Amino acid sequence: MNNENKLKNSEDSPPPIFNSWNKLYALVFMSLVSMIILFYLFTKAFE
Amino acid sequence: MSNVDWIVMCGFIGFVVIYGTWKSRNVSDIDTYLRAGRTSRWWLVALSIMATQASAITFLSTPGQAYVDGMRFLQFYLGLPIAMIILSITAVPLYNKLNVFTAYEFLEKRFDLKNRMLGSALFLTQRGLAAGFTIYAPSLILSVLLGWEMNFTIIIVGVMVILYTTVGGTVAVNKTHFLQMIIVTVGMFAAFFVLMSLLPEDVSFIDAAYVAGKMGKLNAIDFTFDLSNRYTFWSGIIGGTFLMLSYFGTDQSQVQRYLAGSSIKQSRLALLTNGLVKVPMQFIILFIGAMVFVFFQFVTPPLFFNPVEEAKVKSGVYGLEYLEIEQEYSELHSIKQDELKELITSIHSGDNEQVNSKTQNIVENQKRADELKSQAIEIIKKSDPKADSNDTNYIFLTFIINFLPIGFVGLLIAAILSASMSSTSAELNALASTTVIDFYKRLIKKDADDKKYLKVSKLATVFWGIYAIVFALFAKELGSLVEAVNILGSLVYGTILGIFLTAFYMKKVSGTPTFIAAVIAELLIIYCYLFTDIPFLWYNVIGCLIVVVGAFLLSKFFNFTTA
Repeated sequence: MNNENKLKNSEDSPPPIFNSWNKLYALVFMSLVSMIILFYLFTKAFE
Repeated sequence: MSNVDWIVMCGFIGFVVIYGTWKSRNVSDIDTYLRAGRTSRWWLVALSIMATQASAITFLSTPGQAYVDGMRFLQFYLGLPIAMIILSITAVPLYNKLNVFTAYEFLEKRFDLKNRMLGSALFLTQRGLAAGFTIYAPSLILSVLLGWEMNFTIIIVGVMVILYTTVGGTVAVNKTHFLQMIIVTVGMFAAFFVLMSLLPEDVSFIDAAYVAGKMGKLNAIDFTFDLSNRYTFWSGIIGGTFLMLSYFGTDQSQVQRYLAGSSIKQSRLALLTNGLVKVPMQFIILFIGAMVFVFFQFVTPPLFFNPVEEAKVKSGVYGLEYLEIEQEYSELHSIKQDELKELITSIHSGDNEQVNSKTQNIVENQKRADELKSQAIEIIKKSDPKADSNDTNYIFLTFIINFLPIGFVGLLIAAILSASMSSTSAELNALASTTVIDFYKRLIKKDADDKKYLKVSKLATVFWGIYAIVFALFAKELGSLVEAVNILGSLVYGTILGIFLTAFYMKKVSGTPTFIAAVIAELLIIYCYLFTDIPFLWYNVIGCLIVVVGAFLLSKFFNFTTA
C-alpha cells in the first residue's frame, strides 16, 4: 500500500499559466467577483 | 418513450458499464482501486470532481427548484470558488505530503485516534444516507417512465449500481466520469435549445427572460441580510464557503477524487477549474428551469407534476373536488397566457405604464394559481396522508418526457441515469475506502496483504450500497431532493470542518479538547435543526465556530496534554 515512490510533488511547481499560483488564485477570485456583479445586473435588468 | 429513445438510453448505459468494467479489468491492488494509483491528470480529476457533485439530483431537482423558487438557489454556490482557492493552498499540499488514502488519516496524525474515528463516523453516516438520495433520483425517473412501484425501482437501480461500483473501483469511476460529463453537457445544451425552439414564434429569448424576470424567477442575487431567508448572497458567500470547504476538504467522496491527481499541481489545477466552472454551470441549469417555467406559461402545465399521485387522487373520493380546482387552474392559465402576450407587446412598444399594469395582473393571477395548487396539495394529502406532496423533482422530468423530440429523451435520461450511477459509485467507493482504511485496517487487521484489503473494499462497497438502498426507500418523505441532501450535509459538515480547521491552524490545541468541542457542536446543531428556524447553510458556520472556539477555550482553561 505504500506509494511514496510515486510522489511527484513539488510545492514550487508553477501552474501552466501566469507562472505563479497566487496569480491563478487571483484569477479565480476575480472571476467570482465578476460573476456576482454580472448576475446582480442580470437580476435587476429583468426584474 | 419511443423505441429509438429506449435504444439510445440502453445503449449508452450499457456502454458506460462495459467501458467502466473494461477500464478497471487490471485493478489488482488497493492503491489503484482506491486512488487510481495517483496517476490522473488535472482535467480528468476536475471532471471527476464535477461529476461527483453533479449527480442526477442536480439535473432533476435544480431546474424544478428554479421553476418553483426562482434562481436564488445559485447563491448557494457562491462560496465554492473561495473554498477551491483555500483548499488548493492548504489541504492539497498537506494530504499529498502525508500520502494519505483518506482525509481522516490526517486527523490521527495531527490529533489522536478518537478524532479520526469521529470524523470518519460522521462522514460514513452522512454520506451513506446521501448515497441513498443519489439512488433515489434515477429510480424516480424509471418509476414515472415505466409505471413501476418506486420501492421496486429503487432496489433494481440500487443493485445495478452496486454491481457496477464493486467491479469498477476508482479507475473506472474517474474514466467514466469523463464520458458522462460530455454527454451530460451535450444533453443540457440540447434541452436548452429545444426548449427555446418550443416557445411561441412571437416570443423571443429576451421576451422569455423578461417574462421569467417579471414573475420573480430570475432572482439570482439578493444582497438582503436576512437570517430567515435560506438563500441570499450572505448565506451563500459565508455559509456556502464553510459548506464547500467542508465538502471538498473533508468529505472523502471529493478528497478521493483529487488524491488521485498525479501531483500537487494536477490536484490544484483540478480544484481551481472546478472553481471557475461550477457557478456558471449552475447558472445555466437554473436558467433552464426558469425557461421551463416560461414554457409552461404558454402550455398549460399539470396542476400537480407527479402523475402517479395525481391519478390516485382523481380516482379517489376527493376526485371531483380535485377536478374542480384543476378546471379553475386551467381557466386561470388561459387568462394568464393572454395577459403575457399583452405584456410582451407592451415591452416591445416600450409602454412602461402598460408593462407595470400587466405585470401586476400576471403576478396576481400567478398568486391565485399558487393558491389553487396549494389547495390541490391539501386534497392530495387528505386523500392519502402518505402521498408525496412535493412535485418539484417531477417538473423537469415532465418536460423531458412530453416535449423533447425522439432520441433526445433517451439521450437526456441516459445522461441523468449514468451521472447518477457514477456519482453513487464515487460515493460508495469513498465509503468503502473510509471503512477499510479508517476502521478495518486501523482497528481490525493492520498487516493484511493487498488482496485481502481489495476483497474487503469490495465487500464494504456492497454493504454501503445496501445501506443506501434502504435509506432511498424512505427518501420520498423528505421533500425536494437537492435541498434534503444539502440539509443533511450541513448537519455534520460544520463540525467536521471545525475539527479540520483546528487541526490545520491551531497548533497548540490537542485532540481531547477538539473532540469534546466537536461532540458539543454536533449536539447543538441537531438542536438547531429540530427546534429553531435558522436556515441550514448557517449550521456550517455555527458548527465550525463552536468547534474552533470551544477547542481553543477548553485547551486554554483546562489542563490537557498538548499533542
